[in-house]
Parts: sequence; C-alpha cells; structure tokens
Amino acid sequence: MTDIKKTVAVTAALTGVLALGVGSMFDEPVSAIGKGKEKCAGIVKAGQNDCGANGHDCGGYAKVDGDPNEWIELPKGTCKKIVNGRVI
Amino acid sequence: MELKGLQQLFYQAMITKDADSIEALSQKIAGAKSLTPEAGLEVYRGSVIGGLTKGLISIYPVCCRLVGEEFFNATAVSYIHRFPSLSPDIGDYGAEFADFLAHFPPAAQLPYLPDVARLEWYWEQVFKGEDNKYLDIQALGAVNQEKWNDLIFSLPKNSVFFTSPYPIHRIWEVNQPDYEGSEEVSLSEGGVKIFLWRKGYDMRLELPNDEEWELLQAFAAQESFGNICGRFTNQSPPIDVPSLLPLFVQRGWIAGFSL
Amino acid sequence: MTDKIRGAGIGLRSPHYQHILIYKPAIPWFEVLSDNYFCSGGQPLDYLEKVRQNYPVTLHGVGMSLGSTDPLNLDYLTRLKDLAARIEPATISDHLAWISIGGHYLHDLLPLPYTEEALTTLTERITQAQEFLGQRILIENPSAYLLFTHSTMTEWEFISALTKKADCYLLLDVNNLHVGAVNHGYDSLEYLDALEPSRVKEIHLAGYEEKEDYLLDTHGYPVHAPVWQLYQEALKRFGPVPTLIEWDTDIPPFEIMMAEANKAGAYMEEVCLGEGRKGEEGRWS
Repeated sequence: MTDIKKTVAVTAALTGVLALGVGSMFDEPVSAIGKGKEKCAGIVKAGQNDCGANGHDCGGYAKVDGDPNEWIELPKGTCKKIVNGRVI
Repeated sequence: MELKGLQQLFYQAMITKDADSIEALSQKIAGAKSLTPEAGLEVYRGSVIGGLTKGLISIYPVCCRLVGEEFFNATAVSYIHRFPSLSPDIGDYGAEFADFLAHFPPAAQLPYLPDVARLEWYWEQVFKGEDNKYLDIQALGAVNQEKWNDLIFSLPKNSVFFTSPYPIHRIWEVNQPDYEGSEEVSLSEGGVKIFLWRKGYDMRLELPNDEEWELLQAFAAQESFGNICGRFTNQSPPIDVPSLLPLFVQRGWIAGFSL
Repeated sequence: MTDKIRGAGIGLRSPHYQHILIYKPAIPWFEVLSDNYFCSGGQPLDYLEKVRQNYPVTLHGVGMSLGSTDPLNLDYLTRLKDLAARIEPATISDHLAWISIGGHYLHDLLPLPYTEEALTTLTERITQAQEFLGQRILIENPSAYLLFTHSTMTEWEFISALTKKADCYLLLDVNNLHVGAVNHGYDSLEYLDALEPSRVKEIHLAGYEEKEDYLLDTHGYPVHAPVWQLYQEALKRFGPVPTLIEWDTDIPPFEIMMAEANKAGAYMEEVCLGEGRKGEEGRWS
C-alpha cells in the first residue's frame, strides 16, 4: 500500500513539474503571490563600505563615549510601537 | 619605539580608550599646530568607532530604528569592545551582533530584538551572496522515470531558514523606510517561520505554511524524493507533495537536482 | 597601465548607479571602492559590471593595511585580484596607512611614524602586493591629525623615498595634503616640490570640514578654494594627471559631482595646455 501511494505521489509530482514546461517557469499563479512578502533589493545596500573609505567621515557616529558599565539608558526608538510585549 | 609596539598601543587607545595607553601614546606624538596629542588621537578614535558603528547601522537599520540612534550607538560601542573586527572588509563585521544583543542587559526589555538582528544579518548575507540558480526542467525531463525515487532536489544555495517566537517579519516590515501604514505591531500575533532567499536581484522574505515548511526542510536535508513522498503521503495529516512540488518550482524554490 | 584613463573622473557611489546607467554622462572614468564589491554575486556587482561596459574604472581600496606590522592579508589580496580580473581596472590603489594590528581591523586609515623601519616595512609589503597582483599599485598620501616625535623624515620625504624604493606610484590627494599642511603648519608647495613627477599617476580632490581647531577630511563638501589653488600648483608640476572627485558623506545629485569634475577638467586644460604649454600635450597619450 505504502509503495503504491508513494509511487503515485512521485509520479504525480514529477509529471506536474514537467508539465510546467521550460518557458512557464516562475510565472507564479496569482493566488500564490502575496503569500510571502517581497521587497526589491535596495541599491542603498551596496554602499555599506563607503564609510571607511579614504576619508575620516564617520566621526559623527561616535558621539557616545560609552563606558558600557555605567550606561543603562532605556531605548527611545520605534520599539514603543511594539505592543503586548512582555515587559520586564 | 618599534612600529609593532606603537600599533599595539594605538589599538588599545582606540578600542579600550584606557588612560595608560593614551598617556603613553601621547608622549610619542608631536603637538600639531592647534591640536593637543590627545585631541589628535580623539580624531582618529572618533573615526574608528564611528566607522564600525556606521558599518553596524548599515547592516542593522531596523534594530537602530527600534532602539533609537543614541541607544544603538552606545550598544555598538559595547559590541566593538567585545568583538573586534577580524576581516579587512567592514561588510563582514557584525556577525555576532544578534547573540550579543541576547545577552545585553540594557536591551533585555526588547526580547524580539536579537531575532530582528538575525533577520537583518541574514538579509545582508543573502543580498550580497552568490546568485541563485534555477531548476533546469529540460534536464529533469531527461531523467529516466525509474530514477525519480532517487532524485534529490536542492533549494537555492543562497538562502536561509529561521524561526522566531516573535512576529519579526512584521516588526521588520513596518520599520522599512518605504513602509506606509500603522507602525504598530502586536507581539500576540505570534511567531514566524521565514525562508529568505534571492530571486535574481529581488530579495524574498517568504512565510511558508506548515506543510511547505516541512517539505522545505526535507529538501534541505537532501532526502531522496521517493523517501519524502513515502513519508509525507503516509503521515497524518498527509502533505500533498504532488501539488506543492510544481508550486515550489514555479516560485523558484527549487534550484536543481542530483541523482 | 595608467594611460588608460585621463581627464577628471568621479568616485562611483551607490546613489548614482541608475543615473549613470540611464544617462551615460560624459565622464571619462569612474573610481570604485574595491572593498564594496568583494561579494560573490548580487546587484552591486552587476551595476559595477554595467558601468564598466561604458567606462574605464579604477579600483581604490582601504583594506590592504600596507603600513601594518601584521603579515599581509593574502585572502584580501586574492579577493582584490579576483575583482581586478573581472573588472580589468586601469589602476589599483590603496593608502599610506595601517588599519589592522594582531589580526584586528580598525577600518580607519591610521597614521605611521616616518622612520627607516616604517619605510622598510612598507617597501616590503608594497613589493609583495605588487608581485601578487602582477602590477604596480598607487599609494595615497594620508590626511594627518597627529605626527610622531620619533619620525626621522617628513611625510613628503618618506613618500618620495617609498615610491622609489618600492617602485610604486603615488595617488596624490591634494585635499589630504592641504588638510595635513594646515593642521601641522607645513608648506604644501615644499611638499609638492619634493615629489618626483613621474611617480604621480592620479590626483584626488574632495571637500574637508572646517572644525574649530583643525580641518577634517570628511569628503562631504565641494572642493574648497585653497584646494583648487593647490591643485593648479600640482598640475603645473605634474602635468594633466588623471583627477578624481570624491564625495562620501551627504552625497549630492550627480550633476553637482559632474560640475566639480568639469571644473577640474577646465583647470587641467588651462594650466597644462594653455598659455604656451602646448609641449605638455604629449602627456595626454
């Protein structure tokens, strides 16, 4: 029994794939779009190394001297909008 | 003073900023026209710490946005102390940031933050990683039907799976610069399973359902297709592999096969 | 090698990719930061290859750490060599600086004492890098915020000796020179006079930031007037050396970069080709 179910599944799956044909690859059915999220790769991501290059242009990022032991300030960002969190 | 000793001292002065190194080094420095030795060192230190911090911000912009720049910068200083950069490419810096955040007491009240950082690190790696291949359907068609059980399908090489008990995909999404809408996310939305990969130059953050997830895991484990079908058709409830495989291929989730 | 580029180019930065690919502006060449393209695939590399199809490109890096006492990082050099094989750059350059010690990287161009020991260290490492890459490289002069008391040479004496001993070229950053001269009170013309013209293969121009006590090389402004003046002095001495406009913070629209490059190009013509200096024309080829 098991072997028959397995063989049927293998055959059906492969037949289904081959039926797609070479040209129709990645023409995702409309119903499947939106299942995941997609975001076009931002070109700004390419610039991550621009900083260290050539100049000494990063000084502005180092305003905090940071003795980490003394520093326990609470974060002040958009985390305020994450609700129902476990507040410790 | 020998160059090596000088560079070691300079390193200490930049990273740990300890008074002894700075004083020892200051004695080796000629006062510039209007800068004291200490001020001259501080110019370099600002640039060193600033450069590493800027590198971290470029990889972890959502984390930075969540905690605010001031908190992030101070966190970065702590991280830099603990984890020196070991690669000449600053783009490689920050691999341990998620683990660091998980054990960083000031961030303990944001339990989802390490997982958001993990997502951002993976995002960056997939973004700049190698280009993925697509399944060669013609070659698959040439495989003798008797061998179909032995096929091992492979996922895109430049891809990553991970799970989180928090809705980090939503937290990430509402903190994108081009996001429009409510920025509020409720942690009660629950956890998420993410399959992150790149289709051409488009980044894809996919949220497979439970069945798709199981099938993806089986492919990732390089299980033979016969085994997969045998296992999934006989489990309860069964997984409909014959429907899912063509869908996976269409989505580009299958990059190749071997025998 | 270096005659593949001429005129005034622009440092390629990610916000300008699309503008350049769509409008194909009349810029003689682009310089890219090598370290940004050490990826194995993806869009940035694709953009670079597309730009390369239309323009000569030079590779400028920050990761060689030529002044370090660590062993040379062969993994870095291999990545650089692979990128060079892919892009076929007109030149490869890095800095007179160190960025690492004990295998730990600081990612900032840190200063060197100008001693015989440093000269020997750099000569060996540049020689090794040039052998590995199979070509001569260009070394850029730093912007200085401190000097070491045990230096036995000035920066310009050191550079002159180094380019000769290591048989490498100089990438003369006129902005860095000006920043160092103002910060330390030395004479920039004396600096220029000390350099061997045949070693100067590229010039960089950028904008510094005026701090209360010193000038900081931020690459965040148009080229300042004193740097344009010094640039003309450099052109008088070295001829129409390929010149690059760099901008790294608050990067402006491409048109503004282009206007800066055109300005440099105009100075090049005026100083090197105008007023009875036609004899210099040979240098263009």
